[in-house]
Amino acid sequence: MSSIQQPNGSLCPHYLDIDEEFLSQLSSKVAKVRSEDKDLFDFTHHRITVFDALAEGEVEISEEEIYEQFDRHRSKNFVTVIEGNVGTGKSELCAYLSHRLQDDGRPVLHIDKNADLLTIMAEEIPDFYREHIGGELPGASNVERLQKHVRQNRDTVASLVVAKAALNISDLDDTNVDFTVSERDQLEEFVRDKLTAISQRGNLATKVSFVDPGEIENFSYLNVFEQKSLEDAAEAWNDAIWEAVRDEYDTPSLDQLLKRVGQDFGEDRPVLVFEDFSISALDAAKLRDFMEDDSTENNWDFIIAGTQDSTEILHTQTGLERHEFYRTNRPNSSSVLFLNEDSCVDFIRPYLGYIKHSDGSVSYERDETNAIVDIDSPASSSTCMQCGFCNNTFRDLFPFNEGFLRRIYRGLDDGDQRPRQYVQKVFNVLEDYLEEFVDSPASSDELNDLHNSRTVHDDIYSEESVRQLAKWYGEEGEDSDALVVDARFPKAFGFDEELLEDLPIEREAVSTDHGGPREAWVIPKTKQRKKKQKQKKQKQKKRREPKPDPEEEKIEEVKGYLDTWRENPDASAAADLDVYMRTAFKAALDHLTEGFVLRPDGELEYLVGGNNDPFVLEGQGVPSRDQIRIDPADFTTSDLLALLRYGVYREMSPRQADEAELFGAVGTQLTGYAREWRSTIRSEYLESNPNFFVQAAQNREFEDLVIALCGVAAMLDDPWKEVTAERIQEAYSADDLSLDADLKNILGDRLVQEKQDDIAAFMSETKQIQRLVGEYFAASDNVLDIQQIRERLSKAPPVEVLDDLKKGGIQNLPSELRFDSSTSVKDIAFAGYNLFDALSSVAGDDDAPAAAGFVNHQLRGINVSNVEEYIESIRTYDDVSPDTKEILGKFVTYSQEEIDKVLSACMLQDELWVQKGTHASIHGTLTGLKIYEHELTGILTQIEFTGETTGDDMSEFVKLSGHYTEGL
Amino acid sequence: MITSEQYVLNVVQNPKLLDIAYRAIQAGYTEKEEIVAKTGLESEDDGNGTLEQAIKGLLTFGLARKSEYKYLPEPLAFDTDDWGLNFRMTMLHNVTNEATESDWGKQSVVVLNYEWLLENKQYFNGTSSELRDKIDRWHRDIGYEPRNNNGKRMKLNPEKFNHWRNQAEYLGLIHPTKGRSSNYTVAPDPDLVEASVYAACKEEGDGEGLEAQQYVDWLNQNLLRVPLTTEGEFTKPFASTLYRLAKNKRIAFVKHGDQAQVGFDGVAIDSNDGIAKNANYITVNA
Repeated sequence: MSSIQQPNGSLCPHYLDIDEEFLSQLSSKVAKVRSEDKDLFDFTHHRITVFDALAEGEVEISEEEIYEQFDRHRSKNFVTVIEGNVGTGKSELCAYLSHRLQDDGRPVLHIDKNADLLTIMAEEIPDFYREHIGGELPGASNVERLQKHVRQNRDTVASLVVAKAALNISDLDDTNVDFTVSERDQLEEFVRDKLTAISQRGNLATKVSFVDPGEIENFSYLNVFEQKSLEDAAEAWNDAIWEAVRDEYDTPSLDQLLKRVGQDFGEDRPVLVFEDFSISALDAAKLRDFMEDDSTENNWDFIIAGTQDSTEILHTQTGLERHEFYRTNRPNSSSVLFLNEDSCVDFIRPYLGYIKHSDGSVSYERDETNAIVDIDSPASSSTCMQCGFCNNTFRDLFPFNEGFLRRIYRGLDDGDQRPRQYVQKVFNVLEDYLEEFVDSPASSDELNDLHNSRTVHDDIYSEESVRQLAKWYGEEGEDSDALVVDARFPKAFGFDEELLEDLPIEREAVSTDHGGPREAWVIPKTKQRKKKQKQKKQKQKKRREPKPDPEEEKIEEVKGYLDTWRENPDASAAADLDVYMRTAFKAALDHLTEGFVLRPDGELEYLVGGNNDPFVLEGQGVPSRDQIRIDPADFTTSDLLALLRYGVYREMSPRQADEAELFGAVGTQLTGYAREWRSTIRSEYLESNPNFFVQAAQNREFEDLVIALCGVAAMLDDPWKEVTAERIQEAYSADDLSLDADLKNILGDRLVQEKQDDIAAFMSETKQIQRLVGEYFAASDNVLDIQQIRERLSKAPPVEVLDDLKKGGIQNLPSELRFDSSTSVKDIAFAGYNLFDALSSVAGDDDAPAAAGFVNHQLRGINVSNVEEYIESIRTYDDVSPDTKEILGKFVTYSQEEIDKVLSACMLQDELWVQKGTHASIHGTLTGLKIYEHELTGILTQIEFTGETTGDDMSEFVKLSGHYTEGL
Repeated sequence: MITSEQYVLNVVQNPKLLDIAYRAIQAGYTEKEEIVAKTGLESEDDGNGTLEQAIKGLLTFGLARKSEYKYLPEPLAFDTDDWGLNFRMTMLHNVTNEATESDWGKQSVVVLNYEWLLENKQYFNGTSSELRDKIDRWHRDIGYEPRNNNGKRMKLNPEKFNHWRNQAEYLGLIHPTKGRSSNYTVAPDPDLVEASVYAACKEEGDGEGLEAQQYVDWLNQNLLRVPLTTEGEFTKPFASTLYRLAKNKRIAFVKHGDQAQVGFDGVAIDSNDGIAKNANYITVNA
């Protein structure tokens, strides 16, 4: 019994034990690999056609025609230059020519793109010489010695070279070579870095030039020339350094070495293939001169491939006349003649087929150009024959099918529709499948950046792997509103047949182009598609069916770009969709933040204007202070579809936008963003804003300010009450807080109008201040967390908190942070800032303690009922003046409670006055000024006293009554 | 389940009062008058003052006990840097501790309602009688039947569900949305979930993290009843929250050993570096 198992949630048998290196070679972008493995090359090579780069218009030339240009009997150098963008087949053409010329018995030296100059000269050319001529190449050992030294003793080489190069430079006219020790060290370090560059694989290339003009400008120690241009100076340094190197090591240059080698080959014209011609300007120029040298002593065939930038140096008058120039891609495009949408499947076919060819599972019938005409039946004992799962339409391509591969090609950006990009993309997807990271190749992340706007029924978005299967494997169905997936694919990838029951998918036998009917999953492309049976029944009614809603039509129109948008929200193809997605996110955040308020059930909001988003999407730059970052990749496409639906309705029919549907699908995740947004705004502007307070008060917090504002409002409302947590609770619950009338009067006398206005402005904000307190400290409408308030008050006396406010920080608060359009936090904070300024103008007013002291002195220990009795008695006497009687009459209108209140204020004033700190000073002042302004104080000042005092517990009134009664 | 114990959905209308009262008690103000003075809560003769509400709540949630005329605090079960979080988590802990299938504690309703929502909803209308009936039926199905002193089963009526919503919002389990219709999303507070991972790691972990299944077990015994799908995955509301924590690198899900995997329903795991394929182990970024 065969051990070969058909794939059924498992890998294709060919892939079970596949060698990673084998796969890597197969998709290798290094043509040298392909030029060294003829079997691989022959199996996978696709005939290349290129353009004549120098002809006018598009003149096409096949690879055979190029090959035929090589004449082994030619007597001079012959140069073929293949130009083209990266990944457009230059290296493949090099490999093709290499193989053809090797087949002709020509010695071919293939320099791959990772070789460094020293390796070429010290290893590759000598090896080539040894292999074809035998013996050692004269002069090569010196290069080898240089290579060894550069790798092992770079510092010494640098020191040596700098010393000689400096002398070489000083021999030139108009130079001033007089290095300091530091400059010499820098120069040695500079040269050492360059030596490192030329000896590192892959970096040969552009870095071999020792000194660039820009470096002359940047490094003053290189600028030793009095009159030379930067370019000339760089050339002088390069010559001097190379001369120093060659003097020291007696090494030939590359052109000298090639000339020497060529001469030893005689009539066996050697071929030198530069897969990527991007060596230094210095060496390239010398090599160019050698290539252009039309001496009959020279006998090299050069094949030079490179981007036009790197081969520009070959575009000399002589070069253009003598060399052959080809171009793989069209100008201003990366498209090539041998790969397009029609040919892309056949192009990739042998790459995938090669994996299965070794046991005869896959072989092809080909035409004379090596193009595949048909796939052969599998060999009798091959894996494919034993497995029997695939048919010939996809046997070589599995786990892909033709449609999938075509869609990969089509999905590449125009600039990426190049052979290399295409091959690599297919193999990257394949790798994900082999690693078993994904349910099927269609679920590979590698596909995310490809354009494919195919859609399926909305309900299928909840089963992402099925949606992706349909999107990539599906073929257009008969009725064009369904995608048909060969049932063998979901089976191979282990998809559960129960999905057919849960989703609007039917399993049907469909006819095919390649034979009889086959079982397929028929997957509707849109929500509108009706199941076949129903369609038949409804055929008659169809005409009367209303047109789909415009919103639904819009959703169908744009939803195909969800994957594109998810990968790149800036993609132009998804621009229309982007509008709806942004609308959806913004409206969702609005809803989940209860209208962009900063706390649940709160009132403080941050106005998000019509043209602003409270978020930036990933990849669209840095969020501003009032934005969070949303990554579309964090959403499943099913969730994105829900957002799209919501966004379309919000834009087109806002009343029909269904929050319940949206939040039912993705409510938790969106809530996470809403919470992040709230937290961002609050911490950025309020709770962690370091700019609210001056540097010396960085321990203050916004919550302290909230308490302080309320505390000071309470103080102005009633300066005779201590500012405690309980008082703040009282002020929070008060219907109205207003400036105390006595205080208003006296401040009217003491302050300029501007300061009075500042106080009035502050008091006009008290409603908002109460709201702020509620936001931060309320447990219910009537209960504040007074323990917390008490703790804050003990560390942050209110007036001092206002004193610590920083004007610049407040100015920078956005006016969007507000309760409503007329009250922003900025306004409130500014009111607090200005208030402190106004109050500090009266701080320490001497009248305050004087008034309190006076009143206290007059009234302490008084018993109102006794006083009333005395005064009634006094008023009966004739020698008491009417004025005195009137004053005394006013006095008796005061109750004991009222007098106690005044006395209590005097006590408070006295306590505050002896305390330290701005808060106590200002509160003490206000308390005293209100006493000063109080009517009772005025009364007391008008009553004539004896001037004597008798002790702490006696009031002047007691003595007053005594004075009058004794005198009678 | 007839106990003289008060029913949490009857007595806790405003859970914020609980932490105010608890802090006072914890600070040594253990008698009613002292608590009133310390907190400003009001005591009423009819037993319905804010003080009485707070104390009943503390007793019901197992956060305080009465000793003669004093109220003594029970210690908090968690020790994060955030006192409020510790308090909220302890409320949940005390309820969850007694919420077992074999013997539902009377207050299990707090976490059972949430378990039902985690399994069925991401968004709900708090005044929906249909929703309440579904949850209530489920209570009966699983054998949770809280009874009053007369032995009568207490139905999940609108008032009780209203109180539950207040509690769940305070605890950081649900999130109110715009409008007057009392709609909420089912959205566990990420700080709470993160703290639960750390606490579980501390108690059950191996120093670096803990197995996903261990975490689920720990949650169900110590904090919240978290349902899994039939495929053994976190349901979407909880999965989304864990996803976000992993995305923000606060925790990570990795493949570690051969223990059972706990998956994530309905989230884009492929896009999250913090969640490995076949993850079965949670690490914290301590």
